[in-house]
Amino acid sequence: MKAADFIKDKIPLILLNISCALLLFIYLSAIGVGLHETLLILIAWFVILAGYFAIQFFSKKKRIDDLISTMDLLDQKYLFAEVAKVKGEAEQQAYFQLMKRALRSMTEYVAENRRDKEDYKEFIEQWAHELKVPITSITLACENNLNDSTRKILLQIKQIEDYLEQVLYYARLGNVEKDYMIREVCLEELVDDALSHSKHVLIQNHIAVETSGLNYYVYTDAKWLVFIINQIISNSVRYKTENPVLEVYGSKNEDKIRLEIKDNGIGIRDSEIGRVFQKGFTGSNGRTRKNSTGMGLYICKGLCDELGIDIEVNSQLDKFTSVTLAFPTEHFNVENDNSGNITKL
Amino acid sequence: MKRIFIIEDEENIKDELTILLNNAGYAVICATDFSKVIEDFNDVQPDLVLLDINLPENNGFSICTKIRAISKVPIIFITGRDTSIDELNAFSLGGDDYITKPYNAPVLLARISSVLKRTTAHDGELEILSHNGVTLDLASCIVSHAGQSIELSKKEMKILHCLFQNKGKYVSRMVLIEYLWDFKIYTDDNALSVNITRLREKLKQISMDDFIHTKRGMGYKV
Repeated sequence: MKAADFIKDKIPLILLNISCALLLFIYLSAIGVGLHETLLILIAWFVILAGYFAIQFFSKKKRIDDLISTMDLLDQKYLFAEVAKVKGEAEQQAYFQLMKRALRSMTEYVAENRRDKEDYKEFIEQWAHELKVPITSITLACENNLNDSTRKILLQIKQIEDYLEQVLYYARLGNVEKDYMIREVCLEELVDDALSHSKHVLIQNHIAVETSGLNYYVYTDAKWLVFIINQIISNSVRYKTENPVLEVYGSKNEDKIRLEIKDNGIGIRDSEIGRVFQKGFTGSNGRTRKNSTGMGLYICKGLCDELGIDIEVNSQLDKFTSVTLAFPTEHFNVENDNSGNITKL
Repeated sequence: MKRIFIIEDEENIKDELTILLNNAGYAVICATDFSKVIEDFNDVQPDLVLLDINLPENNGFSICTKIRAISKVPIIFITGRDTSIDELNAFSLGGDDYITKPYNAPVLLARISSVLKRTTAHDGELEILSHNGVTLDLASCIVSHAGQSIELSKKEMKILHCLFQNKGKYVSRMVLIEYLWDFKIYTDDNALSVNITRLREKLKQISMDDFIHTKRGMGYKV
């Protein structure tokens, strides 16, 4: 609260005092009281009035400052009414009671929504896990009877599997109980795992795969990385052109180990490249080709942030798209990080 | 023949796993009564155990602990549970590998054979194959015929190996490509043609001119 605001609130009272003083001045002059005595009375009047205002201002300011610091200390601001102590006039108390009621109903509403969200999330995750059983048996059944039709089914079942993984990893984003296991893993192992997962998709789309320079070791969570690499590969497959080639190569410079996944697909417009990591962003490519949710790269970016990996997309329209994952080479500081289950195997 | 004991409650998966592992040359025994798995285990004396975690009446982790108390048999967890804690648990209780559903057949077979290789003595897998007077030595990548021999690249060796395994049958290009992928050789249609041509030239050098037959739409045959 500023002094100017306080005075502004008091303008009617000040005007009332000034007009009363004026009337008194006229009356005293009329009954013949001397000018000196009159002025003395008026000065005393205004000194008392100013003193009263000052005391009122400082006590109000203190009360409001206390409330502000209470608010600042609160983690959940909407719980303010539950913890704040409001003293003061009856009118203020009445306002405060109203606010308290409003906030209480808000608190209930928030809690209910949070519960609903948790329930829903739990259900979706459970559902996703349960879907894995039929997916596994379909996959095995197809692989036990490989022919042109079962290969087509395998392709589709892989698609379902990818969407399912997206759901599970999306649920993990920003989760309090972080679920990763950091260990030393070779880039080659990660890439081989991802390629074996996408085997049918890549072969049946006649994509030539070239790998090189993958003999570098990084500290990361293998499962998350395989998911990320697979998302990038599935984008490359989705946006392929004639004679598709997928290059995967590793390199090391300065303090980073890089894994680059580059395709010769339709590319991304310059105007859109800055937004590829946004949630739900599909861009002109996604609109012209179906099956784009705009979630893949968003989830990848979130996971990379958690793992301390820089992810970067470069592209030239109609030429190529390349996604680079840059791993820090320094070992993770195990002692100082207790946010996740960091375990070295 | 290696015996694999499957502890899994999903009928469909159990059936498909049985077919898959039988085709790959393993004997398969499935647990039926989950309350007396350990008794079954003792009867079977398997060379490897595939173990699910979520089971009726019992839990994969506790079964693993009980098996470890009496045996050093390799155990591979196959499960839908995919958190790091579960994985860590599996390894700390003595599991040898941890595979999450949904898995695919080549990966599963590769992990089974690598665990078996790691844990049991190498029992001399057939490393020299021969057909129509042509001998293929898998360990040294050498193909020989009538006293002449020539060294093959890893890719060529794998192609020939796949054809040898299917003697007298046509192997489609798709099957060959998938086979190579399972050995981390990422080849595509064009590259395969190049490799086959090169392989033929090498075979010609040891005077096997028409060793590999081609039939349009069917594939290759030795």
